Amino acid sequence: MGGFRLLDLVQFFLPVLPEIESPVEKIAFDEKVVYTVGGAFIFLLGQLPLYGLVSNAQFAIVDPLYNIRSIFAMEKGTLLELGLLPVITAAFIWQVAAGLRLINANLGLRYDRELFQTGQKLTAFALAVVYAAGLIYSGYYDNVIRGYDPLKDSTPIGSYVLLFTQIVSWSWLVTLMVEIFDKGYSFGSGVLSFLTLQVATNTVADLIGIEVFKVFNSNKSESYGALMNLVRNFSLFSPKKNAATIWHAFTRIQLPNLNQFYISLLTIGGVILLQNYRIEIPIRSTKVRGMSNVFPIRLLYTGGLPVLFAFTVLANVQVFGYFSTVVLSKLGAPQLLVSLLGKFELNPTSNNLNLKTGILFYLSNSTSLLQTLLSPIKTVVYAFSIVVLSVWFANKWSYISGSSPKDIAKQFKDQGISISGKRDISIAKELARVIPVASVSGAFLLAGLAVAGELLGGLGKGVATVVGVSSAFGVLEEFMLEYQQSGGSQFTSALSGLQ
Amino acid sequence: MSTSQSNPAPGGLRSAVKRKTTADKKAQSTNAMPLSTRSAGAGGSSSTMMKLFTDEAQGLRVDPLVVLFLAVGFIFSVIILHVFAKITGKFTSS
Repeated sequence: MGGFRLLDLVQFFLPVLPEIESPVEKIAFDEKVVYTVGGAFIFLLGQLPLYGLVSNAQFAIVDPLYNIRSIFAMEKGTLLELGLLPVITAAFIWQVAAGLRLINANLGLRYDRELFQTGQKLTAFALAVVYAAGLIYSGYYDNVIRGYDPLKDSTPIGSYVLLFTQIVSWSWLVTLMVEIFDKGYSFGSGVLSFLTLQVATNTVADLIGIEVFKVFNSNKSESYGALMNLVRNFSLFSPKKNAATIWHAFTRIQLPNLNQFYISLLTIGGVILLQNYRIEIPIRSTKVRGMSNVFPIRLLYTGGLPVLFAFTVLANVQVFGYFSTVVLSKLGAPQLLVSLLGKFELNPTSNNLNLKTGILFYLSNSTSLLQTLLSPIKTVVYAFSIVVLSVWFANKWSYISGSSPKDIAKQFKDQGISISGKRDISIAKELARVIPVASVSGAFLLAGLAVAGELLGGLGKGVATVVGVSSAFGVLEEFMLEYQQSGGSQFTSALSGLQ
Repeated sequence: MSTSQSNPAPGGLRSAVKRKTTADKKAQSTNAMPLSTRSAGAGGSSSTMMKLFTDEAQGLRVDPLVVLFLAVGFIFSVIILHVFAKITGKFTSS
């Protein structure tokens, strides 16, 4: 072969990177449930606030990333500050690069596959370091570090190191937990399980979270849940006040609002509806006469992955764009250059950093329906880039993931299945007529759903729901398959024996 | 381009044939090279599931339970730091 390969660089890190042992034998159904629940619980513990910040730091942090948080399970001011962004970015970089043959790896060889996998892990680890360092460098935590006054004190190196260590180690541990899930100790994929979990818990908390927080820059305190706050402040005897309360429930931006909840609800319905559409290809057995069945090909052939990919790309553009503006302005670059890239402006009521102009502005989502209507060019550019990225990815992914027409034709051949009325050779051709069309149109509809939620002011909640619900379907499917294959759970049969 | 069309293949007909067979061989080998770990028959991302880690690579082998306990241990150490901060904060502020 000769020449330089990126994969060979990974080799040097092999001995020091932790590697989860694959299960020696197949993990039993009940054991998988225990691992899933345990891992999920530990993942949720990551919502613990970071040590070294003032209490209720999530309201005081000046936040440039508020619109991508819910998609990647990034919780402000907690250990999950980076959420799943490093892992997901690393996975997409490597797998798409391999699929497009941008990296020289023969995945048919075991050693190359191992290097490929370690490369993904290394990238996830490295990205966590980069994101965390970038956030701290940009002064993201400066006004919430306990006992630190940005105007008077010198750089709080100790606090920075403490924060950096916490964020990076939790991100690494999350990567390893993803690996536990992926290696067959649990159902489905780790990334998607964690995303689903985060979306599900957040949706419930957004609606009926009962914690009461003091609202920043105001003397009121409000419940976390949108509906909870509405019910709490509702009074039967002053209809005028109620109108204001209801309006507030739909429009508040510091805490979750009802607008986001309804967008999530509609999105859930939309995804479930789309999930049901499929084409059934009649198949017959080549070995047994008269055996015939159908092989379903879903409209959402690639699930929520295209939408996740599109938002991963845009989120990375946003994150690195924000870092670049900070670095440029700290280095004393001309103001014009910085504002060409993106100009952030603080919204005093929510402490979010909103983009005002610049390239990044056109690739960011709308903060409200009003902004969608007021800046039509940005709306169009944003929606267009999401849809194009999703569709491009869906088309590619239907070929490069292991479920391409060719792969399925091979599976058919191995199992002695053929499409009714077609010869063996033309199976791949027949499937190739259906699969890319299904995946592209499915991705288009799903991306449309996600974008519609964003344009209505969902602030990422709609997108998170799209990804969450479609991943939940995937995980559930694997769960049911496992349940039927293992002949049910021993635990439930023991329980039913008790009755 | 119009001038080169009439020219014979550089290096003669023989080497043209040779080049064609190597090109064919290359195309064949790239076709045989799987595009993902799943199409290589080794698990990995499927059409709807994104999986990263399905092979067992060399490295520092750890048991999954060790990782889960480490994670819990890490969480508890952060909680203990929080508790200490609360306690000392009470004493210093009063």
